[in-house]
Amino acid sequence: MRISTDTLYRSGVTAILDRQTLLVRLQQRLASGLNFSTAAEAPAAYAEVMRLDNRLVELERYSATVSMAQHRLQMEESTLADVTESLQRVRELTLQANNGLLSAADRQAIGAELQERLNELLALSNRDDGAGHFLFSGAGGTSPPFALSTSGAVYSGDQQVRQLTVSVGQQIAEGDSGAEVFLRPRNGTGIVRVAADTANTGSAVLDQIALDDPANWDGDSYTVDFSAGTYEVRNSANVVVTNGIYQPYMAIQAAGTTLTFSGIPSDGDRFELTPSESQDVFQTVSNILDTVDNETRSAHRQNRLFNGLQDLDRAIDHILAIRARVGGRLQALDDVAAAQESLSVQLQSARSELRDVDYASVISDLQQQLVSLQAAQQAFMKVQGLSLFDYLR
Amino acid sequence: MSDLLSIGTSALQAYQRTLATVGHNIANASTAGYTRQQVQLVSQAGSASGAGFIGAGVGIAQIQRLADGYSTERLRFDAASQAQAERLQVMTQRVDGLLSDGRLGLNEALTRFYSSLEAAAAAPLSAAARQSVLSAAQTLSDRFQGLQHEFEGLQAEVGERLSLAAEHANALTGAIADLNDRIALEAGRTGGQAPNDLLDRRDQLLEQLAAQIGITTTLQDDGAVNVFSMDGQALVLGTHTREIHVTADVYRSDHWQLTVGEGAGAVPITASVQGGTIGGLMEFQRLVMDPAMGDLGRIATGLAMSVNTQHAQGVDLLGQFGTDLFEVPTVSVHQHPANSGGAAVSVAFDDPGAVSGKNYLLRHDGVAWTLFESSSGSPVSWTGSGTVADPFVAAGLRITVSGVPANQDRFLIVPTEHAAGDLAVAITDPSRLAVASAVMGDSATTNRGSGRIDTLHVMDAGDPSLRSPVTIEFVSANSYTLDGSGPFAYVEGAAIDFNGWRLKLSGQPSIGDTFRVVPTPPGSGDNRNAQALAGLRTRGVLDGGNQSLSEGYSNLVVRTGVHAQQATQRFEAQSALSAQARADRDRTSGVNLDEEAANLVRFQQAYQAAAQAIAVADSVFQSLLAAVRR
Repeated sequence: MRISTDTLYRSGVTAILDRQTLLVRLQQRLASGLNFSTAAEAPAAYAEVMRLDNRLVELERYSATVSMAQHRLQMEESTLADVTESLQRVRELTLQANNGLLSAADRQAIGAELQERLNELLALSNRDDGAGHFLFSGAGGTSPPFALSTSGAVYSGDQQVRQLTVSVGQQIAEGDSGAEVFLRPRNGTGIVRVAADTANTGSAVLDQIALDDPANWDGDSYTVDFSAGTYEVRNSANVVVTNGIYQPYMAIQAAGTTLTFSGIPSDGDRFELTPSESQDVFQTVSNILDTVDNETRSAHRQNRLFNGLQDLDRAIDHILAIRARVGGRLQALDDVAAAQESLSVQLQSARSELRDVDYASVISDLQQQLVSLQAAQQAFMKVQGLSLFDYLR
Repeated sequence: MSDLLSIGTSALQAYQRTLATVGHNIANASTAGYTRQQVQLVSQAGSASGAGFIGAGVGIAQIQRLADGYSTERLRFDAASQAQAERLQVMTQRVDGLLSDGRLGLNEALTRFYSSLEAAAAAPLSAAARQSVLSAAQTLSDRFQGLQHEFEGLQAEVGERLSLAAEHANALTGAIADLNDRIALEAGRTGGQAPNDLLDRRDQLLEQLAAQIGITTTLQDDGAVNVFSMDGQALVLGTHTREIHVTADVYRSDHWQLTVGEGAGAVPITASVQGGTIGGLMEFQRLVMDPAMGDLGRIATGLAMSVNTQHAQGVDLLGQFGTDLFEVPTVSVHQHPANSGGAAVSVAFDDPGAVSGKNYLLRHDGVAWTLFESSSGSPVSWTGSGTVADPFVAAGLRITVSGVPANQDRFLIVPTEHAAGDLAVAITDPSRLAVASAVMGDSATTNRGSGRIDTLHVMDAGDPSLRSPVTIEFVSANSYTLDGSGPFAYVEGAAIDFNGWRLKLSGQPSIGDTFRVVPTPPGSGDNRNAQALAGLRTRGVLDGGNQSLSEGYSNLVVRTGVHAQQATQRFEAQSALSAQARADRDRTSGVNLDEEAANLVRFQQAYQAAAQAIAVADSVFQSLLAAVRR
């Protein structure tokens, strides 16, 4: 087969050029540390790397949100702990005030501390996160949510709690609204409440109240009237449901509840048995403060403080329940953060496997191509060096 | 009478010319397109004598050009294919590079836009977080515009390269026609001898022309070559040429059409041209550039429309409904210059999920309008009647026609090719970012039951009573009234749709419990609309709701990458074929220096021998003269 000089030259040079192209590609890979820089070099791997990049940026964002949520929930948790502490102190003071042997000066001191505790509660409810956003104002955030008025607390926030997206499809509330925390506790036992009528003149004091038979409790309002040593329990339609002779510490059962009284009621004394209602924490503390400061009648003081203690207990329980929920959320956030951490590591390593150069193999390829190029170059020179013209005289 | 002297002289002359030819071969060993020439020696017939025929020496029959027509044609064909593959590869790699580039590409900007929305959802009242959403939106629209700008630059480059290639091709056809003329002349002058070097030159020009536009050739009896484009248009007929013209497309000035010939005889070859740089450029336009621009525009449109729709469902810091965050791209409509009627067509986007990235042709056949896909010509079905109240709806577009059309009036609708350049951020004030939802819910603190509000979303921001306060009151444990109307049965977790919002309650409310839906006040730190906007990251916006924006972009990048990869493979394969074809041609026509060196030696010796023969003839004559001297 005949070969022209041109073909000889061309094939030698093409071999050298091809080797050089391969060498340059390997060199680029080594220098950049990446297996490919555009989609054309490895479309499927490029698409996968792009997807992994996106997921990692997403994860970064989620991590920042998780931190923010943890910060806010921790602030809420510590504020609620402070509120609980305050309410426990109010409870202590209430028990002290219920002691009939206190002097006027003692009562004044208790009243003063109760007032301070009330102010403290108001300040806690209006606490902010240090950046001007109030913890308990719901979504509205720029003015203090709570104010006290003569008719109780006034809440100017809303009930829209912000949900933060901390992971794909997972949202966590970053707090609780002030309405939920401070305005929702029920008074009394949580289901029923017994209060003395303000016109009572006797010394009957509510001793115990229990809901033995919840199935029979119908949510109606009842009155317990005492006269001439007997009692009558009427419902809201003024129908007598039960009656009997009154004896101190004797159980009076009506509509599934069991009541016991101590002391001696006067004729015409009345107690009201009503379903529990929501009563905000401030109202509860104000009621106790008002009783300590202004209630001089012993029986009424004892009754009102009895109610106050029950209401306080409900408030404390309510806040504890909320704290438990907050704790649950913080726990969930810890889990999310840990899972995201490990996912991030996994994704980064998957991405690195696809994208980053395996130096050992690329360097050995490079060595191989260098030898190849050298061989091609030397072969070319040897072949080109041979010519018949060298032998012509 | 033939004698030694004249025989020797004929030999000298023949070998001189042969040596000249060998020298010509050696001199042109590296000349591109050179076909080696071989002298054909023929013995001169002798004169008769009684003792036999005495030969009369040697002569030259012809100087033969060792060319194989078939391998030359093969080489030309491969040159055309290679040039086309090369042009396609280079241009496609440019597009691939643009889309894959981390700084120019959209992927990072898109992801950061969604992240900025989530950051704003976590801190709605932070002016910095709101501003960063606007900044991220601006960066994103800048990237879209940047890519569009680069694409349009590539588009313009295609046009320039087409013009250059056409000009070059026209110059070549002119030169080929000239050569046809000269070859016929020279052949005639020498009585049929082929003008070898002119033929070489013409073959060279033909190969160069094939690299511009694919050609086929036929050889005429007078030695002229007729050149046709691969789709059958005559470019050179003897000494006459027809020129290739690149002009603007009838509908719009940023696309081109190719015609061959002038005036009434002009034939369009835009769709049928193949081979060479011109074929490669047209293939690039059709296969890579137009779809990429259409796709990019489709993504831009999907982004603008989906974000705006969600944004309008929320309220900003002033308590007003969100206005458009992005400016929605407009659809271009181009008239055919030959339209004679007075019809006007306007087109807007309807459903971004149905937008396809393709162009459409609207044509009136004298009776009714029909819509066709511009690239394939297949008809597209639609609903509606074309009026403003009831527009034609097809392919994600709303088409309104007005005026009186004439038969065969045509309009080209280009929905998305320029959409990416139209994308811009329409809001500059961070407080106008609609982060909050339009309505909020609350439950009365006096409620006795365990019912609570689970979720409250805006479903239809256009409902006029959306922001009217509504009270839901439970008249029994299992039924409720809505602002007094009802009662409706309560099912836990079931959607309550009213006034354009959707509420879900859970738990068990008691009789008398109330819940309210109220408008969100100005200055609210609610974040539900920002959350919904961030949720667009994974929501199917394109392709009938099956593809998110990121997926759409990723598909575009990968598809272009695959095209570039295939173009590279095709070019490499084609280069190997071309190299093979060239080697084949050189086998017959290429000069081998060693062979020519051997020829030099051979004919030099022959020349010396012939000179010796003349010397002998001279001494014979001298002897004869000496013999008859007195």
